[in-house]
Amino acid sequence: MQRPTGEVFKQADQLVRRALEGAPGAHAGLRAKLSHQFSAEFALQRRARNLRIQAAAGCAVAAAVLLLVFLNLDWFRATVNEGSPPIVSANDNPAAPVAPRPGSLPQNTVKPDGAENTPAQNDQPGPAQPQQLVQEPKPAPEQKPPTPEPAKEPQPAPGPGVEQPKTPQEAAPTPPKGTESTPTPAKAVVARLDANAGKVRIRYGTDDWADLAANTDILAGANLSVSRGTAEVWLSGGSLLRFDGDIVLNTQDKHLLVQLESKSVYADNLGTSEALAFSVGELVAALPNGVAIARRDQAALELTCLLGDCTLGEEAVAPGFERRLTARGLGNAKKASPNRLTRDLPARVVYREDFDRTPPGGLYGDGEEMKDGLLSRTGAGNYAAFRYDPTVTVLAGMVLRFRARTRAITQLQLEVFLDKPNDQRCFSQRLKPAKEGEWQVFEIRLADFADKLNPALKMTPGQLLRNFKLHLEGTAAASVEIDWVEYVRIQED
Amino acid sequence: MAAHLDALVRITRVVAGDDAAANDAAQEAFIRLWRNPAAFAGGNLLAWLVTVARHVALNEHRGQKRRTGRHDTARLRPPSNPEIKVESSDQLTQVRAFMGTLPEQERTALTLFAVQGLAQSEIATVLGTSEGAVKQAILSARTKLRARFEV
Repeated sequence: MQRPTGEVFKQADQLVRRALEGAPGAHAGLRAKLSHQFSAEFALQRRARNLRIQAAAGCAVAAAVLLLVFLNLDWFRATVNEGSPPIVSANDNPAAPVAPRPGSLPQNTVKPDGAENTPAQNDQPGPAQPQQLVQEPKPAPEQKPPTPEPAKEPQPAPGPGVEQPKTPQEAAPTPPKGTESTPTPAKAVVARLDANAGKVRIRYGTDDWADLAANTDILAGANLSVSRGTAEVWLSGGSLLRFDGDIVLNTQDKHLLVQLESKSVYADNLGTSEALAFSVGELVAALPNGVAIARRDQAALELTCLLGDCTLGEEAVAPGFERRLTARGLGNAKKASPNRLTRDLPARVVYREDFDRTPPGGLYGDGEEMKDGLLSRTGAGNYAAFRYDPTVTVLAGMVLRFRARTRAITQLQLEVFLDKPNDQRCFSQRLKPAKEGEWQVFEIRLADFADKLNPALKMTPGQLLRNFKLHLEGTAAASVEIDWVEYVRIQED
Repeated sequence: MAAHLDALVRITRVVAGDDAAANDAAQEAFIRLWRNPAAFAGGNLLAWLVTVARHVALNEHRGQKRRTGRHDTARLRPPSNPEIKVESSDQLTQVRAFMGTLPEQERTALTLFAVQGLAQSEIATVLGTSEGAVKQAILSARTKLRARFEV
């Protein structure tokens, strides 16, 4: 067979070329179809591009609006901060009261008639009263014409059993230490470390830990840690916290939230208007008005209710019982077991009047005098009296204390009336001053007050008290000066 | 587009052996180019279009084969009697019919080589094979064509 040459193949190629080039090309319908499809695709692409442009424009506008809002907020905050008064704390308040000394009865205490009086010694009011930390600033004491000497008698050097009235400046707490580097001036003061607290560290956010000095203001967002023993913190509403681990204090809508980072916290807000809440992760317990211990056990939250209203999760915990809440649910109630956090608790001031200004409820002794932080009254048969505002709720373990100096007094009769609608019901107690002309602290357990008409009836927790009325018995020269009056809840184990 | 479209339809008709399939494959190739122009990396645009259209046509053919479960023997196999005498007036039509009887690789290679003038390397890219295989396919197609039409 003859081998094909390139010329032969060229003929074959030409044949194929002629055959295929003579073949019809694309259908007219295909051209129209492609043209239509390209138009549709083009319209689709243009629409998608327009949508992208619109979306980008929308995002840009939204970002611009957010930026403007952010800038305006900063400007607004700056304006408000410039025009708003500084944070009020006991540091700024010359009338800052002093709280009782933690523990049991103070020395130099006069007990009710019939009870043995303790020897008079220095009376040291305890930790600073935190109740006024976030309240409106008190007006300064009334301006008095300059006098050569204070109205109070010149005080001799304090000997044993004689205490000098403290000036507000003496009781003023030290400025915050250890938090200077934290720029949180806009946060409210939520608490203050007790004067007798042990070593406590503090930090805000991820700042470094710093030692926290006693009587230091603590701001919202503070993380407190006590490595050994326990520490007490007085909240701005007068509540007491004692903790032995790590906690974070935060203010929320209507309560103060105590986040438990480790161990446990004892809380007492009985009779205050300061609602508390505890949290472990998403688990929450509420203490609107009561005494409770919240514990963290890994991811679980345990609550022991000691007094008042306690809620764990969605259910109440009865006083004297404890329950455990986990992500899986709420455990059954068990009888509360003893806890070391309740030992030797400091006394908590529930109400205090210093007479640096007219009591909010007013004086009604008809002739009494208030001067230089003292309420004075002379003449047997007369009385010094003032009303509480707000009323004082009788709590378990509460005592009434007042510091007074008497002359020519044979006996004092203290009367306390209930609030409406039982405002004619009176409880009374008779007191005998231990020393003539010396400052003494009188202390009466509310449970010892007897109904004036029916001495068998005693005060009971939950009753509302509206006044303080001290009758003088003695000679015409009988006089009494009252430095302060306070209701204190002595914590019970 | 018009020039490439006619050429593409003609070539794809050779590949697919079917007018409707050729139109569909050519259309699909153009649409893919429209939607993703970046897919064409340069070079011979017709070769790229043929590559796409050929794949579309072959995939469609394979799918049809799976759906029907049988081969289109009339299209894929050589005619049973290749010694048919060709009249000159119908010769070009018969050449086109004979091209449809060649193996797909051979007829595509010969078409791209003889009609479109693509280099063997470009044809190798379109077919996804080597230049040697292209050369062999072209030689085989030419030989069969010469034997059939005595050129």
